[in-house]
Amino acid sequence: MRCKKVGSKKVIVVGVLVPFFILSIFACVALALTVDDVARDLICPCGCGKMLDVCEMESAKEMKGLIGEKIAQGETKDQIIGYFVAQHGEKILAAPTKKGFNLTAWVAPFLVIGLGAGIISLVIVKWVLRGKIREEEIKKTQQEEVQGKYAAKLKKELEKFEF
Amino acid sequence: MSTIGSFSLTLALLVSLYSLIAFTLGARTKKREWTRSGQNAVFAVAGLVSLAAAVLVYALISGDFQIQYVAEHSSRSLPLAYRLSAFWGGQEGSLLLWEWLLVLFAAVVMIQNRKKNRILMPYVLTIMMGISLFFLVLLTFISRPFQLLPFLPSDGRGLNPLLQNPGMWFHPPATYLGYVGFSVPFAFAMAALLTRKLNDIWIRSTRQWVLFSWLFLSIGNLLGAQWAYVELGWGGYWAWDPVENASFMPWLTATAYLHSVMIQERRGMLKVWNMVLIILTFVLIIFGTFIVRSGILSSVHSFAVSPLLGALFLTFIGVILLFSLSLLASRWSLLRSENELDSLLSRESTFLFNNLILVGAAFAIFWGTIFPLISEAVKGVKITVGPPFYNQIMVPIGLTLLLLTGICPLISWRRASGKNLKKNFLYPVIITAAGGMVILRWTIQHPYAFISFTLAIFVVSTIIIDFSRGVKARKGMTKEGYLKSSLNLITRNKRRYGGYIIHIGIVCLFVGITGSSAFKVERVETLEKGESLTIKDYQLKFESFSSYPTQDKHVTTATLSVSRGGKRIGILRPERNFYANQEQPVTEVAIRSTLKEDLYVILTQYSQDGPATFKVVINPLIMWMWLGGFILVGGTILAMWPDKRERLRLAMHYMQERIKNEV
Repeated sequence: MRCKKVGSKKVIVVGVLVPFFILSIFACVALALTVDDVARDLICPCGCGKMLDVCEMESAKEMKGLIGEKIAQGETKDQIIGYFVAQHGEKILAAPTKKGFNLTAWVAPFLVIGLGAGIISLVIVKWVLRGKIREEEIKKTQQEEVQGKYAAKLKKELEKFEF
Repeated sequence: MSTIGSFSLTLALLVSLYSLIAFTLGARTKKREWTRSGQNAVFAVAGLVSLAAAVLVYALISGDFQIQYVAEHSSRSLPLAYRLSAFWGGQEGSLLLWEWLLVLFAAVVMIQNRKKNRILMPYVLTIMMGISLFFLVLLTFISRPFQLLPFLPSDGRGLNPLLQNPGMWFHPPATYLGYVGFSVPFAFAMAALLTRKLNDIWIRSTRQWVLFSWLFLSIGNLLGAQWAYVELGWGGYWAWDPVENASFMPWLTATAYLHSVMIQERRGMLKVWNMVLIILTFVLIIFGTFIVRSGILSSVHSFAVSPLLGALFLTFIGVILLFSLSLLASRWSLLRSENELDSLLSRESTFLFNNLILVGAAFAIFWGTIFPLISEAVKGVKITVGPPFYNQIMVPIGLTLLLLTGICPLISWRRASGKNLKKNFLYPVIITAAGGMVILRWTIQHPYAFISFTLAIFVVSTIIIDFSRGVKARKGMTKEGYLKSSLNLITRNKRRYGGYIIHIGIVCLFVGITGSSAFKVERVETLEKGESLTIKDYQLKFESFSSYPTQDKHVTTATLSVSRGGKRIGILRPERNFYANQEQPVTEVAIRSTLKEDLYVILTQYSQDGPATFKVVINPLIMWMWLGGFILVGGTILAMWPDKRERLRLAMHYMQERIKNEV
């Protein structure tokens, strides 16, 4: 019993503290904002449909230049993106925003997978239980068959026996 | 010539219609004559469509510009190889390729099954010829490859320069082979439902076809990625374009099918689910074809927009869904599982979760692809759903899948005990933990990369340990040497070890994707001749500039010498070409590839004798993607290699069926 307790403590240390330690290392690393960090979230306004960071059109170059100036002025990524959305509308964003109706775009895939996982778990449990019940029923029937066979034999023997 | 082409397609349409009637009558009346006549009709359609294809090939080679398709997709100056590849470079030609492959596959299926599956075959061919009829209607009335121009142009418009790449010879045909190939298992599944022959014969009969189609769809996707990488000049390989998504979705559902079908073969379970997966795969393939041709979503792959064609494809999807799902519903009671699950933790249950993730991934991509349309319908605003969306959604899904790739094969069928888990996972977990500690140093700023590489170590270690156990056991029993035991183990379990090799290929793909996404370095710089730029430990010196005309384009090349640590390691020559019939210049990138990283140079701007602007990208580990592709192909070929025991088992099944029918 004692051994088991020590084992579970080890599991807690390994399972919780180690990932926490690793994640905290990642969290400590902060990076400076670059033009590409912002450009990767926007598309080129010229209508070519390319991502801003990979587009080489003049309009894309001008926009990247402006992003560089805004970074130099100390603006955050959200502020810079907000500026371009105000200028061009939501279509300038390379991905839907995470608010309002657009949130459904982000949530639906995980919701469907989560729902699927729930259904599969229930189905597995149901199948396992059904399998066990069937197994027990088969066992019981076999037992009854065997018992019935012996009971009939015993009855026959007893009938033969004269007291 | 065009008359022969048009006539053969019209005749093929009529014969195709006849074959449908003949097979239906053959199946209904059980008269062999009708079925035989239908079979002859299939051969006739295959011959007629092949003739039409040959006419188009001849017209492209000879430059018959009176034919609109030839005038719009080729020119006199176009090299012969690209003139031939123009066959599938446009709307009409690619539809003809679809149809041609379909009828050839129907003929092959017929030959393969001439002495077996006698009950299923008329229905299988009815379904295949039904699909063929749809494409022949399109080719005869809507999208005619032999439509003539009212005048004779002196030259054609030529092929889009972006399509003038060796990839054009391999990517579209491979993708089409994969797409069309899935019509065979779909037809068998429908035939099984129609005839109520719902044992696993249809599955065993189509196993090679599923693997063949999956293999070519994989090759098509990988070649497409490689082509985009070398041709489009943006340093990436997958832009989550709607058409790229369209060929990735059926790949995911087909992969789910390849796994879940094992449960049906072994345990007689998941019969409905396997039907659903085959239907879904085929519908997604037609959906992909619809996206490319309808113009409903903007894509670099789109052909000329044709709303009518789009509407017809949408109707076709509706018909397939209605027919197959109502048929499935009507046979629901016959598709009951033969067994129950024995334990919560078993190979069967982990495969169910693997299926969930694969189908969930397909749903996520489908949702992202159609969300701009949904947004427009609901909010009146058309938004973009681009790479940032897919990268955020797909990374956790992909990593979960990678984790399951390691777990699933090591869990026992029916019931996994604690002892079994410990035996199979103890060493892989130790190796993974040790490997994780080592790679932490390089991945400290990239948590997802850390997880991905760690899981890659986990998957590979599980495979190696399981394989070495198998070799040890075989060696102990047979007293063979290590090499012979290994080879015999693989050749006697082709399916299992083919699958393992595919998993290793997938791991390599993950390594390549992770490396090139998380550790990519870019630099854009304008240089005068003689000046250099430095990126990581590479120095690139702009040496010279040349400009010269060729038969079909004007080439501009910059020569850069590449050094590393002061040592010259090579020359790179990025190009920017102007084609006579195109307004925009086309970039030809220069790449220096190693297993560690690619040095990728794009000439973005230049002026004669003046400065030139270069975009230089370092894509780490990208070579592992292409290597993973080769491994995946090797594994699939091994898995689909004919197996004596499987052939014997199948022959026994057919024999039993035959006796049953005769009795």
